[in-house]
Amino acid sequence: MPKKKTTYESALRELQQIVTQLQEEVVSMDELSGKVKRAADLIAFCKDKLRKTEEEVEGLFGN
Amino acid sequence: METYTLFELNEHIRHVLALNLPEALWIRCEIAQMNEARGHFYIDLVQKGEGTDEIVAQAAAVLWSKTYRKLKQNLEEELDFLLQEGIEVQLHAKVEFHERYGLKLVIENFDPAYTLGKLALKRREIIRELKKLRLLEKNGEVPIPPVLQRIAVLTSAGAAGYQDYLKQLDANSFGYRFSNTLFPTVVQGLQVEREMLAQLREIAKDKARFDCVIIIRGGGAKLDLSAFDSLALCKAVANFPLPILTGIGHEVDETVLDMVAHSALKTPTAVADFIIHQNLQFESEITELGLYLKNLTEQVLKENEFTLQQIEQSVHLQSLQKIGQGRQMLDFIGQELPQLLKYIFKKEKMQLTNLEKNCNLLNPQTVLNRGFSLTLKNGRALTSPKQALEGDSICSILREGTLHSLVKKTKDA
Repeated sequence: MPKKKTTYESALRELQQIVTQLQEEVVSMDELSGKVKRAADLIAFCKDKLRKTEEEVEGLFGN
Repeated sequence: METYTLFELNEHIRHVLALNLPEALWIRCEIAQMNEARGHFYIDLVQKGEGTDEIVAQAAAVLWSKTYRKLKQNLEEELDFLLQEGIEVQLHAKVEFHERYGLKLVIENFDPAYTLGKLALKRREIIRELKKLRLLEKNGEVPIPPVLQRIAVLTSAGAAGYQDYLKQLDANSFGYRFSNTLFPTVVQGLQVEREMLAQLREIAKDKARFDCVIIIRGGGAKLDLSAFDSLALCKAVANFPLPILTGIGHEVDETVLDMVAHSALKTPTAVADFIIHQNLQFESEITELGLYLKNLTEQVLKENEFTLQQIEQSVHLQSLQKIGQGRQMLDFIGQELPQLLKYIFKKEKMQLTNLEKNCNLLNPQTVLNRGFSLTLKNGRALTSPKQALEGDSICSILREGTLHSLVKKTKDA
C-alpha cells in the first residue's frame, strides 16, 4: 500500500513512471511483479481519492 | 431828518415785501435743521456753495400743521421723506415778514420730482463709480455656503419686514432651524449709512460666526429707499467678506445696494425663501448622493454575487471535469497495464525460445553427428597444429566413440 503521505499527484506520477518503465522495457522480470502490484495499489488509491473528492464536491455545491 | 421806530421800520419792510413778493415762490434749498412742535415744522433752510459745504444763504421756514395734513393727503410717505435734515428740496413758499419775528418762509407745497431727480442723478453717479471700481460683482463672487443657518440680520428691530422674515423662516416645512442675530439699525433716513456701516464693521469682526448677512426692510416709498443708494454703504457691502442678501421691500425698484449685494431679493419674505431653498437644495443633493451611493452599492453587491455564482459553477464543473479526466487516465492506465504485461511476457517467451534454439545449434554433439570430430590434448580442445608436438598423445571424439592416437607429424594449414 502507498505510504500515508501519498498524494494523488505523487501517486499518479509514480504510476506514469511505472508505465513508462514498462514501455521502455527497463523493468527486469524480477522487479515486474512488484511493480505491477504497486501499480494496482496506486490505481486503487487514486480511484478512491477521486470518488471521495467527487462526493465532497457534490456535498459542497449541493443539488 | 425823519426817524422811524423799529416797529415802523419793520412794518415798512413788511409792506415792501408784501408788495413785491405777493405770491408764493418756488425755492430750491436744503433742509439743514428741523424741529416739530404741536404738529408744526420749524425748518432751517440753507444753500451751500457749489461743491463745498460752505453756507451761502440761510432762512427760517415753517410748515404749519394744517398745510402738513393737506400735503400729506397728496404726497403720503414722500412728504416725511422730504422733511429730513440733509434733503435737497424744491418748495413753494410765501415770504412773510413779521414785525417782531422777522423773515419767515411759509411752506405751501413741495415738488418731490425735484428731489427724486437729484437722487436719481446721485444714484447714477454712484453706479458709475462702483462700475469703475469693479465693485458691482464683487460680493456676488463671494462663495455662498451650501447651508445657511447662522444669519446676521441688519434691520430695525421693529420693522414689519423682520417679523415677516422670521415668520417665513419659522414656517419652513423641512424642519430647518436658524440662528438669527439682529444687528439693529435704522432702515430709513440719513442715518442709515452711518448705522449700517457701524454694524457691518461689528459683523466683520465676528465673521466666522455667520454664514451670511441679510439687509431687510419692509415696503416703503420710493424716496425712503434712496438711503440705500449710498456710495460708502455700497462699497462696504461689495467688499464684505460674507455674502450679503438684500430684501429691501420694494417690488419695482432696485436700489444700488441691491446691485452690489450677492443676491437681491424683492422682500424680506423672499429672503427667507431663498435661505430655505438654499438649504433644501443642499439637502436634496445629499439625499440624491445617498441614493446614488445606495444604488451603486447594490449594483456592486449584485455584480459580485453574480461573479461568485459564475465562479461557483465554474469550480463545480471544472472539478467534476478534473475528476472525470483523472478517472479516464486511471482507466487508461488500467487497460494499458495488462496489454503491456502481455506484450512483455510474449517477448520474454520468444527470447527464451530463440535462446533454446541457439543452444541446440551450438551443442557439439550436433556437430559430431554430422561427421565432425573434436581433438583433445590433455582434456583440452585443439584448434591449431602448433598446440601439439610429434609424439604427443591426443584423443579424438567421434559421434560413436573415442580414438586415442600419437602425433606423427605437425603441419600448419
